[in-house]
Amino acid sequence: MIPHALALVLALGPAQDSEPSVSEPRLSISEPAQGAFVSGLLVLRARVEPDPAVVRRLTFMADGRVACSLERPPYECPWDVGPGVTPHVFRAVAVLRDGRRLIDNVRTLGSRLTPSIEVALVQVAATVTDADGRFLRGLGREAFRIFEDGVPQQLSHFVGQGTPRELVVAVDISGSMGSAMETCRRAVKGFLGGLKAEDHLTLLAFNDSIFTVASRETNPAARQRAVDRLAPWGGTALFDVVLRGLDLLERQRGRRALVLFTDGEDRDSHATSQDIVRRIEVSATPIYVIAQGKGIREAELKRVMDRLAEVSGGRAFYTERIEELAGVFAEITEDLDSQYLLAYEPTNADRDGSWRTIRVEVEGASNRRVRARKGYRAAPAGR
Amino acid sequence: MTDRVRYLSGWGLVLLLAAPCVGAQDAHWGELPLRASSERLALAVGLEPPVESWRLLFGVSSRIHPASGGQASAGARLQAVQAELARDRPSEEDSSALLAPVPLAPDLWRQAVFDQPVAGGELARALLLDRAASLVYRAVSQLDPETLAFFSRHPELLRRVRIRQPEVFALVAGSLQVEGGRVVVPGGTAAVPLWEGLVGAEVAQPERFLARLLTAHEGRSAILLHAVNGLDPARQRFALSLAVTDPGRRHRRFRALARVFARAPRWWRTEEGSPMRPLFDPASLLGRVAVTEDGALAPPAARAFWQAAFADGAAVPDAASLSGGPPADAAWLAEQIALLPTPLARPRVMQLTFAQRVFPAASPESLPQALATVRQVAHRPALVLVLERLGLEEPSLYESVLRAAEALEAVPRGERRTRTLTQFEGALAALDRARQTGVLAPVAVQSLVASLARLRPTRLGYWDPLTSWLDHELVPALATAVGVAQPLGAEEEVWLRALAGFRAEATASPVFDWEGLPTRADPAAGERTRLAGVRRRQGGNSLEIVLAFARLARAVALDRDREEALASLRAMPIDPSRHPSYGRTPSLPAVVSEAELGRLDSLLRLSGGLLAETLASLAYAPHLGQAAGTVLAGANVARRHDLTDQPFALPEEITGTGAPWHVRGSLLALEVALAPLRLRRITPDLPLHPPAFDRTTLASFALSVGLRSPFAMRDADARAVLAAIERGRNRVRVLLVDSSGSSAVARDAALEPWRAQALPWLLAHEPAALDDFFSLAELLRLGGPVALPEQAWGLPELALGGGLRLRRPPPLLLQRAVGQDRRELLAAALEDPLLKVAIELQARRLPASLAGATLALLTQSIADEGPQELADDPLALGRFLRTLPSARFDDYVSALAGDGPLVPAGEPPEGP
Repeated sequence: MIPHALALVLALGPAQDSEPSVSEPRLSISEPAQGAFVSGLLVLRARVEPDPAVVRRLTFMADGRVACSLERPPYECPWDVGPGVTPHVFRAVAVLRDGRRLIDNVRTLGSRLTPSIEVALVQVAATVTDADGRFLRGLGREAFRIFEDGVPQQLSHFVGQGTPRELVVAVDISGSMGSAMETCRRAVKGFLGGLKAEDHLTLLAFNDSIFTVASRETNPAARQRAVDRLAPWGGTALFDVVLRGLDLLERQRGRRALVLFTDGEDRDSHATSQDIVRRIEVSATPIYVIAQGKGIREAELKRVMDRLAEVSGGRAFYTERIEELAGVFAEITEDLDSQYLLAYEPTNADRDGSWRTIRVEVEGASNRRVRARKGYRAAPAGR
Repeated sequence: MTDRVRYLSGWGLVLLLAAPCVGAQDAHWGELPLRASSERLALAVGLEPPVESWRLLFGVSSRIHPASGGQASAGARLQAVQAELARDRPSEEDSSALLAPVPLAPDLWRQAVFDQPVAGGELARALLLDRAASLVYRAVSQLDPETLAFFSRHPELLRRVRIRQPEVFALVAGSLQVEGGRVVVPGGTAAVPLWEGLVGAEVAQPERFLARLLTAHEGRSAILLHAVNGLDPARQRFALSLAVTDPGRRHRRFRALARVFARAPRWWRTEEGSPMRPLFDPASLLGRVAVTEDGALAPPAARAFWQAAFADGAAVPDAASLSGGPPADAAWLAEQIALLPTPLARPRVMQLTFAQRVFPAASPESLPQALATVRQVAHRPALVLVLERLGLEEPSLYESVLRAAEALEAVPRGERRTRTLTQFEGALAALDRARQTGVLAPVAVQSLVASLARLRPTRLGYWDPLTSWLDHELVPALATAVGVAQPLGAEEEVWLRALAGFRAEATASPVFDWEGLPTRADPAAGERTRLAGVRRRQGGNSLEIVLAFARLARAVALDRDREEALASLRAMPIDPSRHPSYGRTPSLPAVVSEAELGRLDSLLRLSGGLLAETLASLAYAPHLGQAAGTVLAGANVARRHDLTDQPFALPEEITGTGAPWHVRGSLLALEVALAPLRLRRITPDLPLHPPAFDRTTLASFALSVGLRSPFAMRDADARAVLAAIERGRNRVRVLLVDSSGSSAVARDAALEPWRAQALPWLLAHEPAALDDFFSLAELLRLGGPVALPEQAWGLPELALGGGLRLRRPPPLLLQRAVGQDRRELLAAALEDPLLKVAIELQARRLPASLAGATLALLTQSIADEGPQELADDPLALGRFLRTLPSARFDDYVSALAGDGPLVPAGEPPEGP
């Protein structure tokens, strides 16, 4: 049997014959535990002792894929292992400031047991404005009524304002962005610069592949610097990045949005526009599109972006003037700050793939306007 | 130190490493100062610094004055070099470090090449900036010492060549050899009259012979000589018609070959530029055709056979006329194939190589059937090449499958045709995979192929007999092989195990420790997990569901337990097919209601559609990469497969056309289109620069992963590879203390001529660069020979007009592709990535069966981070691989957990 002290010190120099001294750094995965049964959303945790300051970067891998890369403690990484109880391998690699690497592995077990309760909560993000278009904030749970296919539903969760924002920003770096890239970088920096310290943001770049430019845990200054590395090349897979962005956001709780900086062209996605619409319909995530390059001018591309925004309950903005973007960003953040998150367990529990309409009403003056998605598809459970 | 002093000092280091018969005064290799920064020069031409002195001048010259076509960026690079050489250099910048090795004495350069005085300090600069001089410099850099001495004694010859054909000289110089006062020609003594007749000069008059060879007829005779010189002895005899006993006829046939070369597109670039050299030109063809030891075309060899194969008429000549008459020779084949544009030449090369691989021993009576099959290589390449991969050898069996395919293809266009073709190809794709993974033995496969080919649609549709075949033949055979005792109701599990390579009799692989956890390499188990994940994300119906549906539909149609069958159908948990080509059908209750009323059309259509969709999805599943991959994020991409126009063409990825991403062509050999999905990034981080590979290059490298079976990789072979590379390294290390063996090392490693000639200079002046000088493939050759299974250690040959298999590349494949589009050829030629993987796995005492999966990760790293100029500078790959941190390979191996071949063994360590 292998002892639990699994931290391996892989020295770049000759192997040490002697026992490591007590001050040698040690890495261990504290969660999940070795041999545990895991399911659903986890938080992977690791610690480096005695002095975590020796770590330059710690990377979690889950089943062979990079899950998170962190530059400072706490070394925590949310990861969704899916609904079943299947075996998994988690690996943490700490690269030390002196170039050495510490590695720890944890293996969890599988079971034929599958969690039998599968609650299908429907989430809806809603904003409320008055007759002048001003956002109404501070409304309580009791102010909202929600209907599915005309049938009143019981609100099970309600989140008002004040919770941190959870954002994925995806920037188009395809070849078609060529001449627009410089403006785009400035626009992205402007947007990032307006976020609050407590907001969580993952910065993606996409062409025919999808890259993580800054993870959720990257600090704001490093995130800003990372934007300078964005350069145009390759094809475009806009629909694929929308799916990835929604995937990432749906692992998180809170006020969430997907923000796209793109010209709207898609040439290489494996997903289709129908896939995207279908997915948006079951997601509770608004999509904001800040059109770039030819996307500002070409009607066909604008249709694509408008559709993404409209179906999701978000908005699309078309402006080339960088000074106008500040106003756009303010609108988006105000939109998000004014969002109420509602959730309910539908009275119609059939997950038959049918389209269900949603109507959100707010008590009070009739001139109050609610913006929320118009419905969702009751997607069947996996085969 | 002044330039003059430095120049003299450099020349004082002239190497005297020539053959004993050569006087030192003739074999000049000296060094010249170049006032430039080597790093800036390298960057100006797209070479990744550092670039060692031994190759700097040659490398820069090649990139600014290409001798062949296809390098559009040469002009811009030349301007950048001009700017760099004209730059005012700060006094502190060190220019004394840059000394470039140059053959021939400086006075000879001035006298024969420049025709004017050039200061010693400016000579290297002039060699770079003057195109003709640069080409002559590269040419003489390839000459062996005795030949170099000959040219140094004949400045008039150099001058003439420089004026008339410097590009041709630069291209062919490595094939020029003067020995003992005679020109050495390919083919030996027997070929001397042929060459003398062609050139119009005697080999014993080298100056006259070389002058005519290089300058007459645009130098095309020299190109022919170079092409023949690059062939192995048997192919040389074939090209030279040495198997022809009648001297007159031999001369005529050789002249005919020379005429084909004269008509072929030029290789060499002129001032006006030059188009890309075709991939299947006469020189390439000669290297790809199979021949017998005495230089005859390998069978089928009759010209009549090949005339009929290329004619592509419906009529098939009788057996006697296909085997009689004269054989096809080099000139005839080159004319029939290599003068055609690439889209027409490629299928003919594929026909030729296919027939020579598969029907070398076909009896005369079976030649008509062989001919019918060979014709289909051009029209149904995916089908024929997959049948070859299945191990079929009998022409009659090929013919029967092709007839079945033809009959299905002849169904009028529409949903029914798509359904039946999908069903047929889906079943065949499963057989193909089960054969590749070794689950089914060749005999069993051939029997199953034969029975599949005999199926004919009943009045219910093709799905009806196919379902019976699946129920009674394929699934039971697979179930036995993969160890499922009761396949009924578990058909999908049987199928997935077969696709994964699960074998009932397989013994558990050894347990090893990986980063503290007991682990095994089990490609079948990992693949089974991956496939199950892929199928979950594809959605749709499992195989047992659609087979059960088909059985019930048949029962209803044939009125057997009809009521019970209808009730069961109504309760079936099916996900209706959404593929428009498989048929839009009403909902299941509506279909059953119609069936109750005796209207069966919808039921039969639905049954066929469901089976088609599931078989298509199963055909896709092995090729879609990780279960968590983006390609599976949307709806099932198999539903978008388009086999309408060419249902048996090699599949290709279609993007950016306005229609969503999809694959067009056959469902067979899907790795040809989808192999890039098997590549994996170790990290989602944004690469530091745009990738080194374009889409075509990436796809061809990915095919090396897609065609490689983990079950073919054996630990003993990996150990033999490692031992041979180590022996090669030892031979190289000996050169540091005794350089006399450098010629033998250069020959055994099969170095291209200019590197062979540069090696002695490097040993004397830049020994530290020796580590970067040899590729792993060259070290393997040096330490060889090692007999390695081609399907394990080879590279994809499809781009060369070959089959769906891996083959070890011949040495210098890439170097001989001068002027050609190398994007597809790189993956067919560069063995180093695989060898590097083998070395790293061995260093960690890990099984060779992990090689393919590790290669998938390494290949993506090369694409993302590798040298940008790989096509122009294959040596850069070696440097990239050497500088890749060892820890990266730890990460690659760890990434094989999850749904990869690295699986847990035993109990996990105790918890806290």
